[in-house]
Amino acid sequence: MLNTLYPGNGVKQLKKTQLSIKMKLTILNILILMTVLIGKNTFAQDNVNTTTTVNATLIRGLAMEGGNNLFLGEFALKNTDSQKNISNFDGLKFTILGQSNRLVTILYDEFVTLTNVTSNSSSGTQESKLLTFRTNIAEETGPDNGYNDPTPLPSGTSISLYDNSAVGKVNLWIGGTMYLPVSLKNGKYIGKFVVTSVY
Amino acid sequence: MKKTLTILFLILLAGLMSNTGNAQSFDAKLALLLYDSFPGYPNSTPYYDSYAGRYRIDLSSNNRTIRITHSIPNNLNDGAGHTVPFSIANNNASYKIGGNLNPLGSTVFNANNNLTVQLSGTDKITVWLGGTVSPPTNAFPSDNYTGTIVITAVVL
Repeated sequence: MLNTLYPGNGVKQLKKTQLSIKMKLTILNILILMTVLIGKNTFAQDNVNTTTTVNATLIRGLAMEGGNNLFLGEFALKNTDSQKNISNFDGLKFTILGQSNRLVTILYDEFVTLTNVTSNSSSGTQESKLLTFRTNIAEETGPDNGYNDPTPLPSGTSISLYDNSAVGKVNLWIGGTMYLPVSLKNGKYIGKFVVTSVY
Repeated sequence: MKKTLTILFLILLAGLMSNTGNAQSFDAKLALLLYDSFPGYPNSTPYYDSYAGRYRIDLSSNNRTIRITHSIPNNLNDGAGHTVPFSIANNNASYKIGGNLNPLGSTVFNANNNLTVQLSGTDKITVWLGGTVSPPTNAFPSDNYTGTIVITAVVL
């Protein structure tokens, strides 16, 4: 009736209704969007990964091969103090095995005292029964096991173990000098020589 | 109706802005370098050592709760078919809330389990990892044993 009487009012009313519907739809959309966002904030989790590396080195334990006894030889005592040299080549060879290319420090006694162990040692002065052996060691690394170009190795020196098929090694030769005072009694002399190798 | 729309837009805007707080990143990372060991002799590197592993997680907002998971390998391998057992003892990891990179005063935790921490008043957490290698007597000596720990961080 109104539309019939006032056609302009009907159009306005229609536009107003359409606008209201549009706004309601917009509000609904925003509400849905908010629900999604709130839901995301509440339940979704930021998940980030990273990695860290673990590195380990397993070292081959040190071992010594060869060189159990060094026989210095037989000597005639003289009427004066004397000494006898034992070359490294004529001395005792032994090999240190360990981790390839690792530094190893070699420690050894630079003076070894040998004691007379024969029956005649019960008499005489203490000095007459002790013999001093001053030691030295020569080392040679590389693929060759021979005594070709050895280098003197003072006690406390560090040396890298040569890589020989994944096993590190160094060859050592023990030599030295025996001091034979005129007071020394004849007999068999024995002493202990200790070599230590540490990484 | 227009007022309602405005309010909703503002709420929506705030919601969008608050969402940016979840971003996170890792930094200050150090690999775990285990002490040298010999076959037959287990050797542990403590979490507070300079050789320990370390990482820091940086969130972009304070007071978040974070859950950290470590996937720890059972073995390290040398790339040539040899392996040695690896583990992290239940008292050989620690964390400190905040960005400080000094492990002194950090809290010990079990890295084999999830770690859930609220970062009160800060957006950072630093974690230190120690470890143990347990080579059997017949283990193959090598300089090259490696493994990977996967760290997963989730902001709750």
